[in-house]
Amino acid sequence: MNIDNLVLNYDFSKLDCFYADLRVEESESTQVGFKNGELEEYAPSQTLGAFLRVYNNGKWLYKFTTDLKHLDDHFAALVSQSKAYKGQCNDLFKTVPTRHEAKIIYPGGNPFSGHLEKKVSICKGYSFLKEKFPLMKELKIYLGDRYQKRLFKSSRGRSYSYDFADCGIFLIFRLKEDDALFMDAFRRWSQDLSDLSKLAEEAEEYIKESHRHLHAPLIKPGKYPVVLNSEVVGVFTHESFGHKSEADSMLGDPQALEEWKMGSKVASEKVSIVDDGGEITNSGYCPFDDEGLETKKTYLIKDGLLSGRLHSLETAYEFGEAPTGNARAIDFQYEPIVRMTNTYIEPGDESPEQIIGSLKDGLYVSDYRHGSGLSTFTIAPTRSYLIKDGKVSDPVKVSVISGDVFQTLMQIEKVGSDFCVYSSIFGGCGKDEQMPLRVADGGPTILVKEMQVG
Amino acid sequence: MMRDKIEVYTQEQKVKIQSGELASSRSGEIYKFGVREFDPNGLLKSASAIGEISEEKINSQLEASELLGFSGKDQLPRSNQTREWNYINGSFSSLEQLSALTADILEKTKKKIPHFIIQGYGKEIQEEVTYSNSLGACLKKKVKNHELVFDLRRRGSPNICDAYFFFNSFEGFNCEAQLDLTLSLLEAFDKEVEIKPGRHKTLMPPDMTMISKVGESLRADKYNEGSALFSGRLGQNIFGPTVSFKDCRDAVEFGGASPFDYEGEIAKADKTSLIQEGRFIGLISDLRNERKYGVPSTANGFRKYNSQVNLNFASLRLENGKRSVSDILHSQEEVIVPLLAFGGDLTEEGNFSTPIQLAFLVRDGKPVGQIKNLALSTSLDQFFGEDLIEISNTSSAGGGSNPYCLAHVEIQRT
Repeated sequence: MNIDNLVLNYDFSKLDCFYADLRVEESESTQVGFKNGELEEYAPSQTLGAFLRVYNNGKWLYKFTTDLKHLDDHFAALVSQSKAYKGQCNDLFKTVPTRHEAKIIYPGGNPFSGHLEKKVSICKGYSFLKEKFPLMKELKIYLGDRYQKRLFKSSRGRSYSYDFADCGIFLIFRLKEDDALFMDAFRRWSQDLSDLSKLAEEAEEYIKESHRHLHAPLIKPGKYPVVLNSEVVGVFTHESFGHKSEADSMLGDPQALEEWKMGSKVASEKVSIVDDGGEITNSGYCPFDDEGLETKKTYLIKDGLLSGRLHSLETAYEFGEAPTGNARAIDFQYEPIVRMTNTYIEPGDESPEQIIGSLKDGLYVSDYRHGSGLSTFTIAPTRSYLIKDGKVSDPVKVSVISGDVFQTLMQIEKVGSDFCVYSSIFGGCGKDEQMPLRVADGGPTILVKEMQVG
Repeated sequence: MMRDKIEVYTQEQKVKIQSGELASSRSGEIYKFGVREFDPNGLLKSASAIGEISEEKINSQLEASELLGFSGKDQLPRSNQTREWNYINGSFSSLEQLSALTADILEKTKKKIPHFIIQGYGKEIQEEVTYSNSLGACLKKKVKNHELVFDLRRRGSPNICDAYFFFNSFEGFNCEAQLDLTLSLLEAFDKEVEIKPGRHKTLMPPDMTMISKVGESLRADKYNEGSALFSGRLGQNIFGPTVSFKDCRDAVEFGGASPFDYEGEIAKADKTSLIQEGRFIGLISDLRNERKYGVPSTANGFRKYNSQVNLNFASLRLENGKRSVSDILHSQEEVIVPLLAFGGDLTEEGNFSTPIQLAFLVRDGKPVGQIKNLALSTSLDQFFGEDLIEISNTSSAGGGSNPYCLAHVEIQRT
């Protein structure tokens, strides 16, 4: 089946409705996993599916299907269901262009297809680490790759196609000595499989450092000044403010909008936060959203002031603001909702060494397991160190660091000049029932005056 | 050549709630399958897809996977049983019926807490899973699951979400008990009260990271590798005498709906006792771990349509206690009830900490007000040991979710 022809030539004229669109996704992924030197996991996945949307009589109706031969029937059923409603549709689509665009990076299709032996060989290349470190009780090595192609067409004349591919390796290991346990992970993302075979020396150094954390004492719970390295800043940014800026969270609440006006001071003046789906070298790359709009760089906070929100067509219409092209669905089984892409804090002007050097006592967090954000954001660190007299000192164990979102943003005292955006093929962003969504996040090293550490 | 196959056919529909009204609706169906082939040399090959694909493409995928050199001799299926389980009462609801059910609960909720904006959804999923192999096994189950989610935000609140209600059950949207508790607490949302940090009684279901950490030690592989928290302690008392953990398979009562695993093994009982009255008595296992460690398979070899078999629980659950949540709360002078405690985690040694986004102080069974800016910490052996006072007789979120635990924990101000 030629899906390009199927989608781009689809004839909407026979549908009696205000608006309709069709999104088809073709994807392939592989995950290879070793545990303690033995091949344990091989999970290939091939999907081809469609998501249909009809907007009519004031209602949105959706259907997902793998039956691409009967799209006419599926659309007809949705239009028929819509006749039961008597509402009015809003013209949400004025800003959506009516042209076709294509951003196909891999005209030959999946660049990782047919390299199974190479993937297995890369993984086996790291198995020596278990023998090299006697305290390592468990070593899991995962190598994953994915390729996605999306095609879209609407009844208003908009269409696009784009694709994306990435890969990554994840070494999860567990150290144990007597009753002391420490679990850590070394990970790397790329868009070229060969990059993943050259990491042995770096992985060794990483694991050696993990041994310092095995017998680390538990931190005394309390409030501390905390330095977050750029990778942890990424998840902090995503969880503390990224979700807050997704406009659908404020639908139906004019009071909240009034209090959350553009130009309000919401963070330290050193802080500027951006969401930008256009950067192809990050896993949040999304040149077009799932409603046909081109994504763009959106300042959420600029110099501490609220500057923007992330929108879908519907939320932009409700709020009277410009759409931002942030309506995304994780795959063909779901409707697009407001989501982030690549989200980061812009760099400042102090080096990480200067930032750490400014503290007599504090905590330095250099890696994390996971994070979450509601009114309070949380980060579960893997590697934390005490800061003593301006220097990174001994490792210490921390279950979770947390803080009130708004207070913490105001308490960012220093923003580093280093900068990195971190991508991943394992995991992703969760919202509602849709997880994991391909995103990326990052920033520079930062110092927060006070955070709750437990 | 031995072959086995997993086929999953899923029908789903969902109605979305936006700003307290039913907004969009979504329906769909999807077919997924995964095939494994064991050649006479012990190599395991696999193929999978979403949607129907030709036998030629399946064979092509199988041949490609031969490169892996995957050894399958430990996982060779042995079952030739044929059996069906149907957990479905009634038929799949129409969208109109689902909309009506969701709207009914939504309207009752809005009346009780009119100052909250409600987002969320009601969903119904019907799934048919079939395991078959070339020995003649054909095991099939049909289940229907219902899910109700309310994201609640107080009008004017700067937060993304102030409260959350989640319910999941095979028996429909029979969430009155759980929703009534949530709504009665939320009626006290606007009143703020203070408490001193320190040791306090709290009533909450155990955090999922805690359950997951306990579960690690109950797996034959992690236990025998020595990498789990309770490795080496089989037969010992590890928790208090009121604590029993079971792996539950029965859909109706326990939300497991897993009478067989995806290696074709049929579970011997609806519940497998793993920790009995505080004593660590059992492990879950699958064919590979049976052959490697001598722990007989407990029909816990699960896999997704496109993955290899992984040892996993059907539904690991803390056993219910004797009294209802209401009776427990009324019998206590003062209890903190965290309604939203999200983002916590444990160290490898089992020390747990979490911020609490929403908690209420309850005195003599009556919610007094909201306590803000809290965090709690405890440890696995304390929470399920000397600090545990009582376990409720109902699950916290329907189906296979865990009951509430009344326990002493350390509360800090954040």
